[in-house]
Amino acid sequence: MSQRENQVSFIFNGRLYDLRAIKNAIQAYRGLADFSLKTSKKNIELRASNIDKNLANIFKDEFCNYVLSEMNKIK
Amino acid sequence: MAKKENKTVILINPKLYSLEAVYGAAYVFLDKAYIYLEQDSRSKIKVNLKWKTKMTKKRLEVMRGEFLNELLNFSLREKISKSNRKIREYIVARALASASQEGPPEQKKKSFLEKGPSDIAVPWRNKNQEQCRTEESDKKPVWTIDTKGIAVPWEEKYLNKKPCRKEKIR
Repeated sequence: MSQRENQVSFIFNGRLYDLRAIKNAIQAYRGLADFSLKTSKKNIELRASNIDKNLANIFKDEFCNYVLSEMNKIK
Repeated sequence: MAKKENKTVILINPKLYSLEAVYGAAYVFLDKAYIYLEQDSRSKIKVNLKWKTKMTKKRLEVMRGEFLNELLNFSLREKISKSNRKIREYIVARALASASQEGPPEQKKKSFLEKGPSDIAVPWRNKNQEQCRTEESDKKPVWTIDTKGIAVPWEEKYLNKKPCRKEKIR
C-alpha cells in the first residue's frame, strides 16, 4: 500500500483476496473516495483518490478491514 | 514472526493452515487491529496486524498468541465441519421432509390395509382405537412427592367431614 496526498493505492494479492469482495467494498466506500480498479494475473490493483480529508489517515486501513470482512461473507 | 511499533507480522504456512482458517481468525481480530494479507516470496501467507490501540511488548506477544490460537481453533472447526458434513445434511434433509405437507417418504410407502402382528389385516378403526388406548395409558401421570397435599384421595379428605346437603334432607 502506498499513500500520496489524498490518494491511496492498494495491491491485493489475487490468491488471498476475491475480486467480488473488493468490488463490494468499493460499493460501500464510493461516497468517501473515487476508485479505479486494475486486475492482473497475480494482483488486483486499486487506486483511491479524492479521499474525504477527515478520514484520510484511517481510510486505507479501514478499507482493508472491510475487504477482509467481505471475504468472510463470500467464502 | 516480527514485531515493529504496535505492529505484528505473522507468517503462516498454507500447508498447515487453510485460507479459510486465516480469514476466520482475521475476522475475529477486525475490531482490535487493521489487518492486511500478503503472500511471501516463499508462498507463505503474511498477516500484517496493525493494532488500533498502543500496546506494550508483552501485550503484543500475548495478542500474537491469541491470533495463533484463533487460527488453530478455526482449523479444527473446519475439520469437524468437514467430518460431520454427511450427517448434518442428512439431519437437515429429514427435518425438511417431515416439515413438508406430504410427510417423510417412509409414511408414504405404508399400504392402505396395514397388517397386524399376526399378519391379519386390521380394520382402520380398530387399530386407531387400540392406538388411542395405548396412548392414554402412556399418558397416565406419574405421582411424585406431594408437598402441597393436593394428591389426597377423596375418601381420606371428606370421610370425617360433615355430610353433604342431600343427606341432611333425608
